[in-house]
Amino acid sequence: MDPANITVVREEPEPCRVRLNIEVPAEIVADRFAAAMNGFRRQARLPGFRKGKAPDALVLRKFDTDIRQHVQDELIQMGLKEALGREEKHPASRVELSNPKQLRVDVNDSFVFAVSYDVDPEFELPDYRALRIEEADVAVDDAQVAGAVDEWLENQATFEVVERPAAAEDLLKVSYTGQLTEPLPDGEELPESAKALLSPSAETWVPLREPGILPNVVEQLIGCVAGDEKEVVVRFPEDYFEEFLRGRTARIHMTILEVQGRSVPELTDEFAKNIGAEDAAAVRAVFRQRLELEGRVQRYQALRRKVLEAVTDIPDFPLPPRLLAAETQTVFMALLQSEFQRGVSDEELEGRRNELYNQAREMAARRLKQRCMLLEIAKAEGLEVAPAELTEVIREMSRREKVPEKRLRRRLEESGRIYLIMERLLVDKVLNWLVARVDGTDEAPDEKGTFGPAETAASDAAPEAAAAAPDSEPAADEEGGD
Amino acid sequence: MNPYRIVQSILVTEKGTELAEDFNQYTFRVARDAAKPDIRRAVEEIFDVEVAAVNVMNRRGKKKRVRYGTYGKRADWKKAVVTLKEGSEITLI
Repeated sequence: MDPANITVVREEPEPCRVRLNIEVPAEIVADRFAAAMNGFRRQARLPGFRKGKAPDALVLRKFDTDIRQHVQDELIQMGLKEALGREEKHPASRVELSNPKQLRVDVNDSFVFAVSYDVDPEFELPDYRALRIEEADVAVDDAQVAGAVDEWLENQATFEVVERPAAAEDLLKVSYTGQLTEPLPDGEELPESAKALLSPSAETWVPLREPGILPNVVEQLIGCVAGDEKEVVVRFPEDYFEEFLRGRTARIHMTILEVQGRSVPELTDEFAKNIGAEDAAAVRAVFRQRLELEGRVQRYQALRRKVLEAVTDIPDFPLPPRLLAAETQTVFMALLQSEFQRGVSDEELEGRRNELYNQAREMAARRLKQRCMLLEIAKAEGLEVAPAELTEVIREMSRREKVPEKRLRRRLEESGRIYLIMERLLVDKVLNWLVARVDGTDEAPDEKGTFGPAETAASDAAPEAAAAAPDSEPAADEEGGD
Repeated sequence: MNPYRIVQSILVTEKGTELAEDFNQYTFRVARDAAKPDIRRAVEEIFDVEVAAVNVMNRRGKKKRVRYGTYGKRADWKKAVVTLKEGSEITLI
């Protein structure tokens, strides 16, 4: 029984797709049948016979389907292992068995089956080593620092009761009652959500800043003083969040109970000490560091985008069809989800289904092309994911998902997701490598978007001020792989 | 007598298989009132073979517990071991 006798005929029905027609010779089939029979006979419990003593003919009649299935599975595994071993390219997608329901294994006959799978495309890598990309260095000037500090101070504003007419940005404490100017037709009632906005309220707050919950009231309320009674007319715009009130007008009677003035703190040494920093200069230094860090992250992300675009700027090549279909489906679902979250109705989505699908297909093709390119570069440069890097990612996931690390690893291995994680790590590594080459640096931000030492120094200067400062938005991942 | 009333079933057991392989003997469950000549005729007619000898034995039905402390009994039955002449054969399975 030599697997070398297995015959394999290779076909390429379409680009990046391989079909292997595999024939396992009759002697191997007979051998596997005999082994299977032996196994089943030893285990078989049939009435009238002790365990393992039933004659073959009886065992075969009783377990015919099971034995054939067992032998078939074995032969497919054996044939596939042998056939893939002879192939130069490993499957890039799941290996699919053709017509699995029509397969039949017979003792005295050879067993023929076929499998299909995607392979990575063949293409010529561009001269990525000669890639040069210019991206301006980060420079943070005093005006930017002052702007960031001011913005932060605005958020630290406090309100105090004042004895003066209300001005813009003030906060009014009012009691009010409201009603629609046009009565509702008989039988129609205000929905609860609209009622909550118009029903009498003994004490509520109205900020004199647009946009507010009550639209177009700021101008009508400016100049009021505590004790004033005011009737304001509210015209709800067509895009008002409460659907029932859209386009309607309401008359609201308000009694001004208090006028609170807004007081934005100034950045003085005393204020800085109150928030735990040494002096005002230290707070500014923290903001400068923060802005520089944000700038470096943005610069890095921009470089990554440009590198990716430059590297993949070669003529299109055929992509693995099944991988493309799977990726398209993933992107399509994500698009539908995001449209749905934007409030697009089911009917509209149904109408735009084809357009969205084509968009998803384009995006999927671009992603797949990028993935192929980067993995090819990894191969050419001998870049690999170190076991420690993978362990670190799994450790982080286990912390996040609150699952023991070993169990999570086993789960990932069983589901095959671990290979996806490894691939993503590798793609990321290649991109970092390319950026480091074009930029002449070795630095790359960690997953929190920080570069490490720079922020540590800044944070040490005034930890609480750093914590209180507005967080920067994490830069978007241009690959969008997740 | 109807041969199918006499020969009720063929007994496929470990011992029966060995008897068939080694001595060309086949075991049957037969009607309790069937005599050896009846069994011979019935086997010859049903399986189209030539019988050399027939041995019979009456088997007592097993006692079976029906519920706690109460016993029932399976029916008594008759077993026949039929030896075929050389050249005759019955395919058991």
